[in-house]
Amino acid sequence: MFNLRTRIYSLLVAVVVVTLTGGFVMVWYTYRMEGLLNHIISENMETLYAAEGLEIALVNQKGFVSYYFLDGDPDWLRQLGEYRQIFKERLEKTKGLARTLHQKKAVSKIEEAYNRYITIKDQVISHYQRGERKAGASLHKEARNRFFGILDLCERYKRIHRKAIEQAKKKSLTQARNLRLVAGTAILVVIMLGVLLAFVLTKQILAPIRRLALEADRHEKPNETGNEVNILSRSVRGLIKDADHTQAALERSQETLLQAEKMASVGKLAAGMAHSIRNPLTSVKMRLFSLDRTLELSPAQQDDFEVISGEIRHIDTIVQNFLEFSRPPKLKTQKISPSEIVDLVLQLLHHRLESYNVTVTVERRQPLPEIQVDPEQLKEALINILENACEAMEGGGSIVIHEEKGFREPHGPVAVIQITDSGPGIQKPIQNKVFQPFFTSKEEGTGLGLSITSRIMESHGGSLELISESGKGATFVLTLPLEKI
Amino acid sequence: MENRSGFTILIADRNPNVRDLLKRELMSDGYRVIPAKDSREILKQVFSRTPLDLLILDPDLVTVGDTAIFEKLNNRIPRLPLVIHSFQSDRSQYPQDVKNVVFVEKEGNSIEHLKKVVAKMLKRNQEDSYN
Repeated sequence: MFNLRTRIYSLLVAVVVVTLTGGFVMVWYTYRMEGLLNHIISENMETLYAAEGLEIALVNQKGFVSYYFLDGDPDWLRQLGEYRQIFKERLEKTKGLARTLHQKKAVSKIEEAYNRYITIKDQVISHYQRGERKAGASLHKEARNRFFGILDLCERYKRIHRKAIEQAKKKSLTQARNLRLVAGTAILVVIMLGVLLAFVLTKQILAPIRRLALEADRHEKPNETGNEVNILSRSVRGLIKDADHTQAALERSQETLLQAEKMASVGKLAAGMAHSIRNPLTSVKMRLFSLDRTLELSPAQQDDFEVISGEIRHIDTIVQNFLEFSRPPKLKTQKISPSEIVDLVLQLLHHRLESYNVTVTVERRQPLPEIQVDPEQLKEALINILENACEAMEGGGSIVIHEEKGFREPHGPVAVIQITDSGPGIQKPIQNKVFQPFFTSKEEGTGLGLSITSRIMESHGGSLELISESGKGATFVLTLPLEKI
Repeated sequence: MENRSGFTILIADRNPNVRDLLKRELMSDGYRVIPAKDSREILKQVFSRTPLDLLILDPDLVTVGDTAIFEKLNNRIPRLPLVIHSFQSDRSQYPQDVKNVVFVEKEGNSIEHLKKVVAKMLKRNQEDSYN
């Protein structure tokens, strides 16, 4: 109904509101209790104490007149006067403390009764002073009755306050109970809201995040514990990285595909063209041969004739290369050591190498193991590289062929043949281009030699790489996988 | 020069200049030569009354895209000596290791070699038929 954010926020707000309300209610209640207690102490208790004092002052007046009656010492009457004074003071105080009408009435009732009692008592005293002991004694009895009446009134007045205190206590207890009820309810509500919040957080945030993290995380252990958000962010970072890699790979493969498509169409064109050219070219070659058998030429004519023948041979080579490039022959593999093919190529090229004034050194600890290769094609690959090297080293030089076993990604165990020449090397900007078809830096090149060589290596499951620094010669690395192709 | 007037050779090549050269060279050696520019003309000759002793063929003919021509030839004249005169790179497309079929690579200077092969095959064929 509501979205997740609204639900979480409302729950949070509810929890905070309930907790704060509970807190405020508690604080308010403590103030209230304090006020209540103050009220009880300051009013009822004080009044109660005053009433008690009044009662004591009254009780203290008892007996003096009787003692006077017995021994006639006027000091008893003086003491009585003192206690009467104390009672009067206390009565005034009690009057001042009386708040309600009921209380005031009760106090004035006490005062009234007391005044009457004093009047009678004074009459009793004057009777005794005049020596009318009998009349004094009978009036003394009435005075005693009045005295008890006042004492009872005082007692009643005290009871009123005691009752008020009892009520205040009862009220505060009721309020405490109510507050406990409110606090308990608040605690229950907070617990419920908390549980609900935890449920929503777990069910709708943490669990989905964990699930997402596990789904997104393909490399890490699936039962890994830890902060869900950390795991998720790690996974997402991983995914982003993967996506970047995929994007890069896709771009690369698109580029390769584009290149391959271009090459395929160029190849088709080249094949068609070469096929068409080859036929008339052969006819020309045949006629030239025929002409050569019978012609008697002057030296200049002979030179022309040879140039024509030479250029036609060149065209023929180009056409042958085009054809081979566009229609790669099928592999005819046999089990043979690549070292054997290296030796065979060196034998084949013996005269050519001599004519270029190039010396070849083979670095070989032991012959490379036998693997499935097409000897003819591997031969062609080696010849292409060696001829390129010879042509690059004007005036002669040296070539080192280094053979070794090794381990290369992604081939695994491999046979490696490194061919290093002492020529000028290949400049960085064109290093990537040398394997592209139709790229050539030679006057009479077709631009297909290294391209064909590279493809031969690839068709064997291997690779051809170039390592070169300008001015320090060039090294071509031919890699052939040792396991089956 | 040997007298080879008895032999008739059919030359099939798509290029008229190649045909003419081969014709001239072989005629100068005393053979009777019939040129053919495509498979239709070959079959026409094969099915004509003129007996053929040898066929020099570049199978890269205008109307031949498959090996049907070889089957048709074999059906009509099974023992006709056949010289396939074509490019080395195309060799794998043609019948190999078949009796009476020899491959000669088409090159600028292949004419001398071709003439030798033709003479040899005709001679062997003649000997076979006498035996």
